[in-house]
Amino acid sequence: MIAAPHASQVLRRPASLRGVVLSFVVGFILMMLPWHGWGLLLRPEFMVLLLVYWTIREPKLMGGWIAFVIGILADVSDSSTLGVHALGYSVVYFLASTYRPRILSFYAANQAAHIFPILLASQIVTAVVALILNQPLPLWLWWLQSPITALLWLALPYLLERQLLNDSSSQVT
Amino acid sequence: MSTRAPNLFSRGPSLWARQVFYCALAIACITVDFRFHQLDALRSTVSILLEPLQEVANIPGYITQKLSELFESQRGLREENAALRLQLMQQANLAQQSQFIKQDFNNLRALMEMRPPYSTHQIVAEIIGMSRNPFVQKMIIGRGLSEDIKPGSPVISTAGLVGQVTRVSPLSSEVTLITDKNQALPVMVLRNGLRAIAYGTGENGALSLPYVPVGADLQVGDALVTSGLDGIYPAGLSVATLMTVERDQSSAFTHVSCVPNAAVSSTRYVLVLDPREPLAVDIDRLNNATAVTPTARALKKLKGRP
Repeated sequence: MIAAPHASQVLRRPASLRGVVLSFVVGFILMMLPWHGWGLLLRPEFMVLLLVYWTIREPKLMGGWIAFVIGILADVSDSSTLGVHALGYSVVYFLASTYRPRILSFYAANQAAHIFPILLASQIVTAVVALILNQPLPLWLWWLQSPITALLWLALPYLLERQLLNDSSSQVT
Repeated sequence: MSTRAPNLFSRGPSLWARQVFYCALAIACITVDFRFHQLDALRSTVSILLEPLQEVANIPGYITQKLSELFESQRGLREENAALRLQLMQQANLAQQSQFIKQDFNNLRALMEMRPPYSTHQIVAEIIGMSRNPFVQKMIIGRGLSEDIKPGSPVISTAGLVGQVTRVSPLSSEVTLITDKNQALPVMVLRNGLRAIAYGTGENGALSLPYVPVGADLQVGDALVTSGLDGIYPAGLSVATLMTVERDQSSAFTHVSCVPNAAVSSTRYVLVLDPREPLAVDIDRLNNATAVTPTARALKKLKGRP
């Protein structure tokens, strides 16, 4: 079984604000890569993933307004109707904050299983808005975004925390 | 090692209340942006802020493109060159004829005191990429306000009509493709002048003509061009080719589907035409026209109504 990153000693240390901001910037760049066709349909929701991660890891740093602003930025970059992502991300932030204690009590794979419904909720919000605005739903492949993103959850701590570890060790010495 | 102090006494509104507020705000944004289009200033400001990140994100694409250009074989280039030469030769003849026809046409138009059908002002733009929103059919071109692109301008490629500029940012513009589900354009069958309205299907590479009567004279392979009746697209732009024509006994309409001629995925450059003047101007001209056409008569009748 994969060790739960959130339960390990490493994560008792607070994350640096710089690291959080940097991760969001990198997430944005990943989102802005020239995705098209199948790649676009299957593009993992990097921003949602980071949002959930930092909401659970550093609830003091995060807030509803951050989710909203990131959502607006995502709307502009994806040229969707302004507010669609903001709505989805606000719902994600609410769910992540509410289920934070529960998610923290699990190991990584079980955590991913709990993250999946949150991701799916954001997709459902987007789809409902699209239906109301009379936009056609994309191919069914699009719904695979949530499971793919949930799988990325398993890798995420290893990507983010090494950076943070280096940061804190360099600060100590 | 520092730890953040736990928040023992939470103050302010509850999480639930706050998130309901943000959701309401988002819904308000959606409504305002979709219905009233009042948030374009905010959008263009934010898009300028995001521009540096977008530049970074474009780097991998540029590198792969440069590499593929580097490794493209000389033979391939030579073949392409030959094909282009042939195309140029074929089109030179047409171009010369068209000059003559245009002159003739302008003379006739002047006789009828009507405006020329479209201006010749055009801007070449590079396709930066397709929109990353899977719900719509849009693409981004690399010209914007700085090159005086206006919303509503028709966009064409060498093969035919691509779409229409729907949003202009300072450095780029968004083009809604004719295949977008919310796009409709008036077309005409080139062979017999039959008019219809083509709707996007939301899928890349398909248009449909939903309201064509069963008796209409349509054949597979017919070419569709813009009819110019909407006052947006100039008449005569190549649009699509009919692929299937199904006549169903149970329906009053023929099921027609067609394939757009301009394949956006295979071109890199498009041409942005000037948007046409509003139709109202044409109506005035028509009223003053000496030759009373059936359209002019109908329009006069319409105008006479209270």
